[in-house]
Amino acid sequence: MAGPGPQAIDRRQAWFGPQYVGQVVSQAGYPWKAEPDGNDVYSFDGSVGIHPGTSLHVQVKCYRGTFKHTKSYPIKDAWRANWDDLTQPAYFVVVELPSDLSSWLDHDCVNRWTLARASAYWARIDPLPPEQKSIQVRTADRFTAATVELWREQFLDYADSHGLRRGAVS
Amino acid sequence: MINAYSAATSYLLSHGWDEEAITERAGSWTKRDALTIVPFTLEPGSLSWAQFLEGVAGVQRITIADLEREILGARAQATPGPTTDRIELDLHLSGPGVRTHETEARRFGLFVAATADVVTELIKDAYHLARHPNRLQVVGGPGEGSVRIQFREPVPVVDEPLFDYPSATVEGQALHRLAQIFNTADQAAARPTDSLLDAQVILDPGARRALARVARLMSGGGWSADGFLTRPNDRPLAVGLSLAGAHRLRLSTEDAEEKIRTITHHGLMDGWTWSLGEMRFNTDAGKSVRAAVPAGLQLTVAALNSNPDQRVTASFQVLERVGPKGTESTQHALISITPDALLPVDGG
Repeated sequence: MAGPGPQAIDRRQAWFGPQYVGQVVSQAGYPWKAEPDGNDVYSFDGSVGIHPGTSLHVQVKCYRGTFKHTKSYPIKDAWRANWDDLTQPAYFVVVELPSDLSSWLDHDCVNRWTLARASAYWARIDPLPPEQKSIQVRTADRFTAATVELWREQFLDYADSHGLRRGAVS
Repeated sequence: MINAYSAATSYLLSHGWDEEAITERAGSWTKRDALTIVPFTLEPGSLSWAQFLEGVAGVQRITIADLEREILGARAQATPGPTTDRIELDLHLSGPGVRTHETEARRFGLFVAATADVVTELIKDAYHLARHPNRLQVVGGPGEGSVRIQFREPVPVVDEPLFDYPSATVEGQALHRLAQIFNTADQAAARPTDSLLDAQVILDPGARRALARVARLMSGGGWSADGFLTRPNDRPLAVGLSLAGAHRLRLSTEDAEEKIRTITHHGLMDGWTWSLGEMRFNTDAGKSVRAAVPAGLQLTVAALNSNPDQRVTASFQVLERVGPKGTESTQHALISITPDALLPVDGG
């Protein structure tokens, strides 16, 4: 838990990432619930209310700089221990930010808009095979409001393919 | 100990959710357009638990903390009362249908009547009787607990037909059978795909109908039942039936889409559980079989099981419950069991 007052840049990016994801989810029209600061008990930073009765979990990582085509994160033991319990789709999102903190948000006073110099990329992390050692996101998989709609479709596909929606049209 | 899947689905049942589907790993539940997936491995404190609470709390419009408290605190903690010289089924009803030791009188009365009918029907089933008088007693007076109800076997009459069973009355035996069925249904609520409930309720239509009626009344009353079967000169047998268990009991006694075939195995006894009326058996072909045992064979099975080297020949009904996506479960019910002749001991 952070104390009061200005925090180091690592802490700021740890806050910024889930909030950026939350903004995109909000734009898509879905509820976003971020885990309280420093309380990602299950190695997830937030969840999307993807369907009435169902929330899907999202792990968010924030990266300062620009990666070329892919970015990999080794799967920590704690992640695997928590995610072994996954019974629904879950996602990993990497938020990319400029190295220079002052340019994360650009406030245009004349036009009265704000530009977030951020982008995000996603990968699905379920099921997580034992032999998988890392999670990789690709620049081709940009995280936008349309992604959240895709996640909803993936959840319904998951429910259908596992026989969990009896009335579903296949 | 509370089973989280059973507790969670009991909550859902009492708040207007319907069971949508059951798979090998999870059940899915719907309420209007809402859908929640409940894995059988659900455990408080786990990721699945957090995910379940979050999804359902949003639909029920309550906080996650209140939802968790309501789910985990729903069942009564019963302790066995003193043993009398007669068999008693001592149940504490709790759940959303009970508030400060009060519940709806009319439905409660129907539940008492339906339980008495089940006992009579179980007797008729076990002893192939066309009719049997309704003699089950109910014990009045104040008692601790949520809403407490004690069913007691009648005082034995002199010419009572004595069966090979540690009770003087058939009602006492039927109360024991009912306790086994309740426990099996409760276990089925915890793990619907790993249950012998269908096999336990291969009964005469009258007994199935009576059980279905009790299950419906419990579901409608919003009651879970927890308590003990107390027997003279024996330890109390814990009995429990959650709302989710009552739901499973209703499905098993009402649904009839089953394929039944008969099979005979030779092998060795591998266990017997009084609280569930369930035996385990290892066939000569190397297969392990769990089977429901009808009342009339339970003492025989218990006796055969007491000899670890006892070879037997056992015939089973094999039930295959057929769902919309094919076979959903396969269960065994014992039909007959005979000890194989012991090999002569070579005395040298």
